[in-house]
Amino acid sequence: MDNIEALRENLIAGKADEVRKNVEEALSLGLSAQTILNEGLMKAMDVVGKRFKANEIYVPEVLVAARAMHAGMDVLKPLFVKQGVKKIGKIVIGTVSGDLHDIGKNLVAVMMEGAGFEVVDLGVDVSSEKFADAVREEKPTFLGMSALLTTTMLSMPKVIDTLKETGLRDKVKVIIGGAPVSREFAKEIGADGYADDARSAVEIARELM
Amino acid sequence: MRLIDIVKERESRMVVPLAGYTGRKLTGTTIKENLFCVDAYLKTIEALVREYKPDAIFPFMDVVVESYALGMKTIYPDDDSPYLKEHPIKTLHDIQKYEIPDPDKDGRMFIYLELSKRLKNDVGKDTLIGMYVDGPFTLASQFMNAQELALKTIDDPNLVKGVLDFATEVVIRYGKALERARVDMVMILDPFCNIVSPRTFSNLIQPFIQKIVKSTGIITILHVCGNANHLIELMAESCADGLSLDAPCDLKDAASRVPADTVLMGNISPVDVMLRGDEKKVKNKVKALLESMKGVRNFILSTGCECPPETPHSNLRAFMDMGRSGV
Repeated sequence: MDNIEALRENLIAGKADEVRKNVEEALSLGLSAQTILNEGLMKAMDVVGKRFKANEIYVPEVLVAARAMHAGMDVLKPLFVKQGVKKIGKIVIGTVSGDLHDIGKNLVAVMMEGAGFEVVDLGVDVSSEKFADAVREEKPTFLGMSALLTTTMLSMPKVIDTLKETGLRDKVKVIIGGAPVSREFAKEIGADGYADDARSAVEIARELM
Repeated sequence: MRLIDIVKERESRMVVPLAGYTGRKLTGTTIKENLFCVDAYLKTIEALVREYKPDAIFPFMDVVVESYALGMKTIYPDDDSPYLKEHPIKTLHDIQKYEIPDPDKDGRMFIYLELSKRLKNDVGKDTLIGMYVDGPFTLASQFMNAQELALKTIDDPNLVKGVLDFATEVVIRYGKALERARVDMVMILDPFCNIVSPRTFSNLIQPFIQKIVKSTGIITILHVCGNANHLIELMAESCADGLSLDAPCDLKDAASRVPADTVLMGNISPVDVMLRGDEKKVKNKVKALLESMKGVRNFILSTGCECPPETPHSNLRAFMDMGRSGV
């Protein structure tokens, strides 16, 4: 497991090329994609998330770690199908209509991915209809919405209304977050969960499973 | 005169909500109408002064004025804050395509220069006139894609330094023009700083903020919204006269971490309290803050950031009333 230990250290340090090599080495040593994912990438991202939450590292450090995780994932992805890696749940995520600020959303996406969720990222400025369509088609466990602006956060209740109107509200759990968003606001608009940072999103999702 | 001296010479606590955008409801105008017409803008800001009599007044928290003056494509919704459509700088070479804007003629900077002069003339006797400039890192996050900029603080600090250097020169030239237009204070808006570590802030960003502060002879206030608890000492080291801090910061704790001559401004939540609360909640929150800051001389009651445009005027009234109550 020395190789996995090195993989974790390199991921936490954001060394994408090293992580890719570590994953390739681990495969050549006969470890399964599932083991490398669970023991290597996911455990390392868990450390990254905890350090972020504890203010030991900040957004840029998380972003480079995320990039390293993706480098490792890219090697593993073709094997997932063959070896049948199981995801623990699925989240559809995006920033709400009118909001182009996506760093927070991207951090949540990567933390969720690192925790073993399948992430369907709808990107930025996502309309209520597009969210609803994705819920219908992807059948996710969670819908994640993010907003940075006080004006755009008001699109969140509209998305929830659209889910109700289209009979999808009870098919998905809604988690919201973003700088102006609060627990109180989440409760008011009938969201199932509120995450005050990317790491919390994973914790809330696990609680709501 | 330094901000701390102004604060100390007043008998009562200074009260300065950041609520420029809310003023357009007093004049029945849209945000866009004000941003492009100095007459309309002046009426809107003066309406706020008449209505609330704050100790200092700031205009709309319009963070694209510098980028727009550089000719970057900007979207102006009718009644919402403007934003950049593009983030055109990817390399140091790209910066060479731009010239430092001339505040007298490029973009909308002249609107703020004219607004400053006329506000100073009309209401400057009883009200300190404040204007905003972008902080270097926030301006850089408009020049470059924000996530890319965050990554480059680790991957390519020299690129970031180059972009910050250019942003700083833009801000200094604009700031000097505002100074000539007789504003009393400039608030340097650098909200994007809250995403970086103290080390990155200290090594990469702080020297540029210091340069802006030192370039001007007027009062400077550094604003970082969101959670800036990890940066407070370093923000104070920027030598700005004041720090404007948002609701996630603990102001009482901040008071123990900054020099006694650094004035703290804040930090009633613009969203949870000012926008979404009622008058009772506003009064309770202001009262609690004033009580916790009792005995702290270097403190101005303010909101943590700009109040959203739809903030009820009844809440602003409640904010001012409690602020003036002598608690």
